[in-house]
Amino acid sequence: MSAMLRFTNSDGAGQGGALEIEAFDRGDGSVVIGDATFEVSPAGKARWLVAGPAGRTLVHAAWDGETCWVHADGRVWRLARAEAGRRSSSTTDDEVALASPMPASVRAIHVQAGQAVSGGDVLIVLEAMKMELPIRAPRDAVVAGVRCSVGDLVQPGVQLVQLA
Amino acid sequence: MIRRLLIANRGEIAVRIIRACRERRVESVAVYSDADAHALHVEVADRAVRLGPAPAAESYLNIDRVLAAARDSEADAIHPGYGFLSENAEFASACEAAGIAFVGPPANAIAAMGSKTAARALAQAHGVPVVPGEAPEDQSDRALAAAITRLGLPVLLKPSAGGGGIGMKTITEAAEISGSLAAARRDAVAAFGDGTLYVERLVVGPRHIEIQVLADAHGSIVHLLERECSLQRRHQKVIEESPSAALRPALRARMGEAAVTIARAAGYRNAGTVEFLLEGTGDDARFYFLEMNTRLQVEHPVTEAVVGIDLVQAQLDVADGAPLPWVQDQISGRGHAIECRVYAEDPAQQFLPQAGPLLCYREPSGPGVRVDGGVREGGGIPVHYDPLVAKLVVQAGSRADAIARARAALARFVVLGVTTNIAYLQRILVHDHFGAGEIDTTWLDRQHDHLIGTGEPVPAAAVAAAAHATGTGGAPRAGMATAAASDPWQLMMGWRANAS
Repeated sequence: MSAMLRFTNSDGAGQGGALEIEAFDRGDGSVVIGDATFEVSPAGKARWLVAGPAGRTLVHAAWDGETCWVHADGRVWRLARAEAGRRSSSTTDDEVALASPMPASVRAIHVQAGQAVSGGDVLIVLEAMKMELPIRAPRDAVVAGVRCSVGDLVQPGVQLVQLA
Repeated sequence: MIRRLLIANRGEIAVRIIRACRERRVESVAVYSDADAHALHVEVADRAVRLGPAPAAESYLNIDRVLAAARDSEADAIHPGYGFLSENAEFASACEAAGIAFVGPPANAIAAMGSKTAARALAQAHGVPVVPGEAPEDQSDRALAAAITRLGLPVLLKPSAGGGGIGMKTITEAAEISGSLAAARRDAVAAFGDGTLYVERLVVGPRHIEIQVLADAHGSIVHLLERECSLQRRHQKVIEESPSAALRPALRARMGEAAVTIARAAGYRNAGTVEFLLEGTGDDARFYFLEMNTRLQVEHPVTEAVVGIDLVQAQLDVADGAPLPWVQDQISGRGHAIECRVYAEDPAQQFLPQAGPLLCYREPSGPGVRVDGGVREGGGIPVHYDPLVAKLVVQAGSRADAIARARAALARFVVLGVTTNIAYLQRILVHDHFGAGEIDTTWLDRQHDHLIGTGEPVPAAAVAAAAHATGTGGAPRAGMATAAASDPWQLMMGWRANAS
């Protein structure tokens, strides 16, 4: 079984970006990237010994949904299938700005449905790991609805306020 | 003798104390919140008692629940670890009142050192230097200018009624004095309703040096040399080491004596740490008392590595009433030790704490390498507490060898699933200034841009392994991943991909 995969790099420090790399898994333990061939042998749970033109590298890799975390040469990178990257980049500005960046609890809600807000206003205050995280309006708008309550544990990626 | 010890903490320090219990055949009792029901410290203890819901106020910080857990499990002693209730005099008193030994100092020593002004006064009364400063009775410009002249420029103007760095002003030139006094007075009135100013000499390029002390119940007190903790960010220590590159033997001895003096004056017992600011290096360096931490420190393994004394065992011996088995002359350091704190945080996003699953977690090991961890692969970093994942402590014959060992060990510390500061730590270790020991408490902030990653390209070998893992059942094929998309961790990963 062979497959063509396209990866988008985003490194463990939150940097990186749109670099796309095509890898062709031939299904026989070898993977072709560009004109180089890599022999990949399993070396324990989530661990691979990769032999390529530049020598051997021990790589740890673990998939989490559409993201593959890899450790090689002492550093961590996050790889996403390019298709997944395109889909996630279609999220709107509101979805990103009005969601928690991390699992957090809701400490205060400053707005209610029907209220007019200005860009930059603090709508909700979250708390995580002893830090306060204000969620601010990304633009001037009217609040269409609030989708959380004080005390809720909210997950990242979930939009907490709907703006009209 | 302590037979059953309750550890009123979580994470790596709870695991470390439980290990010490096992060594001395003391039964260990872990406590946990709902967020930690499957945590490592719960698994490794002999017994475990639930405290309550995840928020610390309802679990690890709740005195009544911790004491109830101790009673229910028939523990005869409590070790508070660090943080949480460790420096809470009320808790120490409540333990004693309940007939449970508190592995730490007497409650009155905690209280005496808990007030910064009282601790400063105690140090001064015993001849230990503090950062020179005064709040003149006469608050006229002329009197304040005279105070500034006495202290010597540069100085820091602080609102007497204030705290937390609000309204502080630096004066470096004599020409700025009258303008700065007026502005500082205005700010002090605006912020605190009181224009009284405190003038303090500004310590330029300060190093944070702390001395470990150990006192028994029989009046014997020793110090266990210093730790250099200058690499800190918003008072959060990042890398600690011993010995300090800045201390000469004579100064080390004087600081050690000062630390013992303060411990004695406070009626101290058990392990504690006296923190100093150090100004200058070599024979001209001056030190000033900052505060005393009346507990075991996060960075205690650095001292354990160089002096060869297990501090938790020593704490338990002292709590058992044993006299210290050493006198000061028998304590000496050997080689060099460095601790790197591995945090779940993203340095590129203002060190935003990260929570998530530990898909892969492999600690390094080898000669001179110690990892105090509180997590395991398959577990996770919960959102409710401090984001410390583990402490890597290395020891080697020289500072240069210790740095090399730390760098190599960090490179094989594998944490997948949660962003950590490991790459940031690696960049500190290879920095020329750090290599030369030229650091102070402002260094991390000044070097921030050099210590943040710049999107290094991923090695092709890593992509090859990821592609192969996909083909061998290591991950769902395209189209299958949606089945798990309701899992909150997945959503978080999705957000991270967006952010980068």
